[in-house]
Amino acid sequence: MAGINGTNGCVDIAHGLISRRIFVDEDIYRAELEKVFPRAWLFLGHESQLPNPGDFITTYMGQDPVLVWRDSRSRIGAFLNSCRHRGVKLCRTDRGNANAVTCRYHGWTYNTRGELIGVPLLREAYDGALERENWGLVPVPRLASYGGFLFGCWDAGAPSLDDYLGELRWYLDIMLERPLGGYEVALGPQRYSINCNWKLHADNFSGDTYHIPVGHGSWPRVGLPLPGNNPDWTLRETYTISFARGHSILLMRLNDEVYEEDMAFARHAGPEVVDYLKECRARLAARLSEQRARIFAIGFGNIFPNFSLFNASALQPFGLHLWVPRGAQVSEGWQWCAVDRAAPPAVKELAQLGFMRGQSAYGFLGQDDADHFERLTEPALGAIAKRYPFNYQMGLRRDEGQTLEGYPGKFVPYLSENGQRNFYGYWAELVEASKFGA
Amino acid sequence: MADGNLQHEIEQFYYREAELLDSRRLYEWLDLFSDDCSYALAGRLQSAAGAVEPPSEPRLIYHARDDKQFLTLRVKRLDTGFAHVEEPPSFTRRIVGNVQIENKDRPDGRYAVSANVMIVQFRETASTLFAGRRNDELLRVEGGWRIASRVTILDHVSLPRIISILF
Repeated sequence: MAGINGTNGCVDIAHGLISRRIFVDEDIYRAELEKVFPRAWLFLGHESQLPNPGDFITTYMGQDPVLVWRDSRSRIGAFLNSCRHRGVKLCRTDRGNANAVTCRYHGWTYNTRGELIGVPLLREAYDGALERENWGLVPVPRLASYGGFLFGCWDAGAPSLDDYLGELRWYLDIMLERPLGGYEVALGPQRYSINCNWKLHADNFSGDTYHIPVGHGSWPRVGLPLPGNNPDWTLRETYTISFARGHSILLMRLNDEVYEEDMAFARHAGPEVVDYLKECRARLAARLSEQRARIFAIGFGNIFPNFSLFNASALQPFGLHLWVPRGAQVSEGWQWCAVDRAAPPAVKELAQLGFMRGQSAYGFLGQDDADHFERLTEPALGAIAKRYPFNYQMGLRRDEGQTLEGYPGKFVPYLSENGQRNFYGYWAELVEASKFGA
Repeated sequence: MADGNLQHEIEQFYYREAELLDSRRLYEWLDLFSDDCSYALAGRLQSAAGAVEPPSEPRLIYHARDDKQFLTLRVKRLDTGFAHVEEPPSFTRRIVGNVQIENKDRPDGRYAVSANVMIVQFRETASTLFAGRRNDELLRVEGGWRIASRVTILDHVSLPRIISILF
């Protein structure tokens, strides 16, 4: 019987064994709230959601509520969405526009730069002695945009966002340079709760290709097409690619396969769709390279810790998925569909329908995934079950040290659990998993 | 036709429809939809502050916009044996109420009808409540009614679980 060697703690990457406990235990959850989310660059939103001064959106960084606000000088700031006096959540709407926000409990007021500009009865109640400059909103100290995608980090000393993303950027750039008009967030946020730890979603997007034939078996069985129309699902010309700091992407194909499949569809959809695809490919070739134009779409993947991406074709949605931790055994999926502003209406419509029908709360793929994650959580609560680690051994020896010349990142065959091992390996370092025992 | 009879007829139609869904007679339920029907499901976005939300500005997030073909796939999927979330099937109990006919006395037999829906779904030890308002366009046909279009607006800002049932 395989068990985890105690000296390797609850995550034993070398043997491909991960304890069930990391998906259910409160002490480990508290550790990840303390050690993972405060140090990582976390997705906040897309610039297109905040076009004007005063625009704000609300979101979460880990379990911390955050207000992202474009100030009167058009600079974007982000703050803990919690009054400094007694912590009441200040903005309760998903988005809006305001020049100031006033707390509904005692009336403290902050401007778009998070400065405390109003305290009722400051002279009468505080004798004027409150140092307002010390009681502004807690700022997110590091903010950066990568191609319009906003990220924040609580760690003032963290590496830059560019360094954090590292070699993944070579592939992200394909998604960022492909649209003719830049992205706008067309649909979202969809929000839904799932009774599972947030990592199970990230795990799935980090490397789980193996689940598709059975786990999503209803999709082809009702006649819906699979990427590559490949019935045996080995997809030999695709890869799982891993990067430093826990990121990975998969289902990418390198030799115009996606473009050719899109064009085959487009010929039935109309000349404006054909022209659109040609222009997208030409744009990629001109702005990046012919090599990256041949990739055309990055498939799906996860940016550590909890931001997943999904785009299998230029005619399908660009899904943005944030897995918000809500407890050791509860998470909330927030997701948006980004579309090319300049895409033909038929393409935008295809993308939005694809988003709703696939990887979403009422979509076939989203329903399947949530079920798998919930149904593995409940058994993991038992005392006996916790003694038996999960098997993450696919490709353990086969996939060591592989690269593909001319392409950044560690390449392994499509069917591998290397992406997940990469994710959990980095996670384990951050939470100091060896302290938690087997 | 007197208002009371029409109201009663439509309510009875809705109760029979709910029973088809709750008893999983889903292909019979599909037959209630016209061939060119549209079926949509939306949830709510959390609106900006204001004492009253202007009725002209509902803030919705769509979860489905289906034609009859895709709605049929939703039902067929449950027959594949691979709709894992519904293996074994969950139990549901629907209440349809507050039925209001917006435009009575139609010579063309096409009525805009809205109703409140509450559905409780039971899976293993858990129950989940879904609630919302449904706006249908019903078409009177020989022998009964067809649903020409349906938009169900759930009142959830964040869905309590993924949705594996039909509205």
